[in-house]
Amino acid sequence: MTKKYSTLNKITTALIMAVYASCAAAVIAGALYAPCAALAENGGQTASLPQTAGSRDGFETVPVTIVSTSPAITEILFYIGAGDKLKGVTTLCDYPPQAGEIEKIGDLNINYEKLLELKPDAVFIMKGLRANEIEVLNSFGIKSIELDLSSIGAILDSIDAAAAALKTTNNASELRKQLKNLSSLINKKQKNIMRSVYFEIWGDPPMTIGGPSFINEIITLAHGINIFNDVNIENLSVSLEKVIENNPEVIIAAYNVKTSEIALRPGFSTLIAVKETNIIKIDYNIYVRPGPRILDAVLDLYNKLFPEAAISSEDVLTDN
Amino acid sequence: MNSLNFKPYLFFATAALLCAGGVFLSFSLGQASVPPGEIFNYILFKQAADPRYHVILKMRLVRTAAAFITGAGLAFSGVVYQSSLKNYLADPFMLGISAGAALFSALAITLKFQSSFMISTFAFCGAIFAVSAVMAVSIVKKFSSYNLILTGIALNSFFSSFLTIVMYLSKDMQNIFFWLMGSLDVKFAGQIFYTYIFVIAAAAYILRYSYILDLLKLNEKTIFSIGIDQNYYKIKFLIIASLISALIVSQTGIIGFIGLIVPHAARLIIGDLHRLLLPFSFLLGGTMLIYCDLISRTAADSINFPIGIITSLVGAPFFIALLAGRRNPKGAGSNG
Amino acid sequence: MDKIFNADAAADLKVRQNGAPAFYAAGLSYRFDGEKDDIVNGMNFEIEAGSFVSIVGPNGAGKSTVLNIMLGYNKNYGGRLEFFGKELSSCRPDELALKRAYIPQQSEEGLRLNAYEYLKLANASPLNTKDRDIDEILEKFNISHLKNHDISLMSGGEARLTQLAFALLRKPEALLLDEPVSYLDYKNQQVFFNILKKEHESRKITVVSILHDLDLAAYYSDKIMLVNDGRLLKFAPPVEVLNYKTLGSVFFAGASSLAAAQSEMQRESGRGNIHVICGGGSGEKIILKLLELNFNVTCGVLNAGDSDWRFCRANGAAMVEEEPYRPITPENYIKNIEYIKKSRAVVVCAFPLGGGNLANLKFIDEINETGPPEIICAGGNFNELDFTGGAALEYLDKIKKRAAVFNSMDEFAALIQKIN
Repeated sequence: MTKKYSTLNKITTALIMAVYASCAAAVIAGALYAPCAALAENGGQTASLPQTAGSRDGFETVPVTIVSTSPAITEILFYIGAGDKLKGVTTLCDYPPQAGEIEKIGDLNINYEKLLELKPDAVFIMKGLRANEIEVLNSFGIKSIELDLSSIGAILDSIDAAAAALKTTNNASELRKQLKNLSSLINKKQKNIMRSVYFEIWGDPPMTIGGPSFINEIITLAHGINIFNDVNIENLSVSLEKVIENNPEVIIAAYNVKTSEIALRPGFSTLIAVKETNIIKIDYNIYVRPGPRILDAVLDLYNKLFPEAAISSEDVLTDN
Repeated sequence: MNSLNFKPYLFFATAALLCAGGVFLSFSLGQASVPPGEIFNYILFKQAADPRYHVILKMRLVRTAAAFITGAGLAFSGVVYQSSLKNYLADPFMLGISAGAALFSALAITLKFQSSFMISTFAFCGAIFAVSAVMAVSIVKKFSSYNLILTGIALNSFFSSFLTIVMYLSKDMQNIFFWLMGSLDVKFAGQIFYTYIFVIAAAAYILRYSYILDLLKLNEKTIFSIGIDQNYYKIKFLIIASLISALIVSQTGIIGFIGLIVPHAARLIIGDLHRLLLPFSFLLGGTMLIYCDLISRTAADSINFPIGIITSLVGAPFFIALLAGRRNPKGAGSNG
Repeated sequence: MDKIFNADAAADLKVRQNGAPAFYAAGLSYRFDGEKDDIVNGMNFEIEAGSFVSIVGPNGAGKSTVLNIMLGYNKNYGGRLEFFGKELSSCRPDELALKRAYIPQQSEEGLRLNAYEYLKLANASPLNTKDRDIDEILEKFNISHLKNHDISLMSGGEARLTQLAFALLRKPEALLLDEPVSYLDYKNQQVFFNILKKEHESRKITVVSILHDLDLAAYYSDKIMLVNDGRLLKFAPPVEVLNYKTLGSVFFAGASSLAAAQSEMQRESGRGNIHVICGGGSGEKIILKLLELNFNVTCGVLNAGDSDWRFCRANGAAMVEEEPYRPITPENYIKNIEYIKKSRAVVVCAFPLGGGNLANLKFIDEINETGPPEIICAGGNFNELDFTGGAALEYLDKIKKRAAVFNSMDEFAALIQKIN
């Protein structure tokens, strides 16, 4: 009886240790993976990459069938008019709506069997992500084209590069023009006026975006100043003390939360944003994808920051 | 003839001193640079001259309070778990609390119930659901610590797999990760107040019956001969300890390590007598988390490191040092 | 009218209960869940309040099961079992707790409490056990110095005494013990039982103890329950239970009878006969070695039930046997000397010496001053084994003067090889 008891106990002990080990591994993996997942979800914002765009190697022939491995790239390919060539997308690609009807070749992971079945001429890949996948694709003899989507400038260049590679009629020139229009409109309306912003992407624990983030650029374009502009991390678990010290004029909540809950946080009652009830919920989806919809994002954020001097999308289309 | 020597009280005094020091440091240090004058103003007059500093200092106090009760509660229920399950490797998450809380909070986040209050509520329900399921299964079968532990392990991994599926399918995977890392930010009013009341009441109740936890270590038939129905007390204590840790986990996310290591450390320092062990673990757990939290929010500019990572990072070396230095090799490693 | 009648009835019941036996069993049986056979099978007995009863029997006989039933731990027994006049199954655990205490087979391993903290728990809540009682009992047991010692760091004997103190602090009317001294050496066994016996007498506690050691059972018990195969074979005073016939049939059913063993002794073996004087387990290794070396081994004089006695029985070595815990009778003494005279050598082991077996050493006066037989004697100090007050040492000195002394099994083997 005693013998059996202790053996059982040893087994239990071993099992428990296994559970702990795996938990620890999961936590570490999770911590490491979170930024990756964020990249995939957001469409990628790799700041450290050089600001170059273009095809990986010179293409002699124009690809006829292509595959996208990220929602932002799907948006870009549709934007330049190559949607009909697109034979495979990820399950995360939900914009434009036509993308949903295209064959799925994976989610965060690529299902190579599906991919090979489609026999694409080229696979579009976001730069800095999926380095392993490029090797695998090369080994299969499939061309991969990397697009750098780390900043607004890089996005525009990448759109041009994709257009050149696929020889499509549309490129980024229209988007460049509209962005320039919007920027000058904003500069005209809010000359020298910038509003400090606390951009909260998650509340439990409070998370925000730092300087290298792609959203940071959008905030700047919309005449906001991210109060965590100077932190050199994309996503950070933020110190609420710092929020209070920096006293933002506007709080943006990019997730589904009651704005009153943020206002009721300890110490938040002293914030200008709270006093002036400038806690604003946004539709995060248009902000997260470094694709052609950056224009919508800047416009949306500007209108949230300066509702008294709103700009309509028609204004952007007309030259001034 | 006094049979209790002064040694335990010395340990208590040391821990209390450490705790007081932690509270002071935690109050004085932080991301915002508050002038020392304001800190003394606040301490002396309960009022800093600059209202913003006043708010920040008050926030620090609240956060420190949150850190204390979180650490204290987890360590306390860790002791109760270990003694009730007669297994020194037990911790408050052994019977599914963390897995249940994680799964349900992930569901809440996925279903767009993303306010802290909703996530907490879901997490609490999940924790209670999981631990009740484990207990129900093992009681229906045949109640014993081993059944309970094995059922707990099985259900833990079952829930974890479910969590992985939810996360994989969820568009808010990133946010689920964030929540799972744990945080000590006080997110809604009254949170700390009610947590304190509940945890202290529950802890006091268990402390009143601390001798039963001592008795549970005796030979099974000896316990029976004294007229104690050990299963009744085990279940009762486990339920109360589970409520404590469920409440804490639902508010802070999963902060590991404290509930496993502080009870061990406390045992090594003060021994197995629960009348001393329980309050000492409570004090030690709270103190340890105050320091961990201090590190987590002052180590880097503007950033709060996930508290769970700090607890392991700080706790493991401390614990290993304690293990290496202990004199009594018998007992602590055995399974009671 | 009614009221008076009821009061009378209650008083009557009380009288009956006071006079009731501690345990009364009729057709007591027990079967574990899922088992086909009864582990306890139709036992009938009556244990008088205030008596000292031992339960003996081979392993797997059902001793522990009976004790666990009496403890109330094994529920759902068949038949009847009354505890001080009340059916045991109808007693609540907390009710039983007030009347009986229990000492388990194992000591409280891994318990990192000191003796005081541990004893404080004797009556569940520490509030129920007075410091004064603890001090008193520790004093009485002569272990006051252990008060602040960790239970897990105590020696076996100390831990056992502390457990006894724990049980007695509960002020029980009955005390159940499950092989309380199995892991203790001879001296600590004596210490434990002497204290237990004293407390039993002064407090009038009913003691029921499972015992492995038949000597102890014979010496301390008022009555012995001999259990085998779940049946109660004999429940009587030690003299009636512990004799060759009864014990032999229980412990060595099917093995050679006394007569057969004796005839075996007479069978001359290749290397001749060696006589071993031993007891209390001291002879096992030596007998084994001798058998290994193809000697014929005889032993004597051994009390029936002694562990060497059992060993000889099991290994077919012939011996001169005595009733349990009795001094050696003249007949057996003579028989022993005859064996010795016929042997090529006599081996004297380091065994506990009491008034009863002192006669075993007297052979030195009966044999020639030079061999044969040769004498081989265990070295070392017999002082600790001497319970005769020095009488034995006198004989030992004489023996050692003539004997070859060995201090280890290797030395013994070398000595025995020299005998041609």
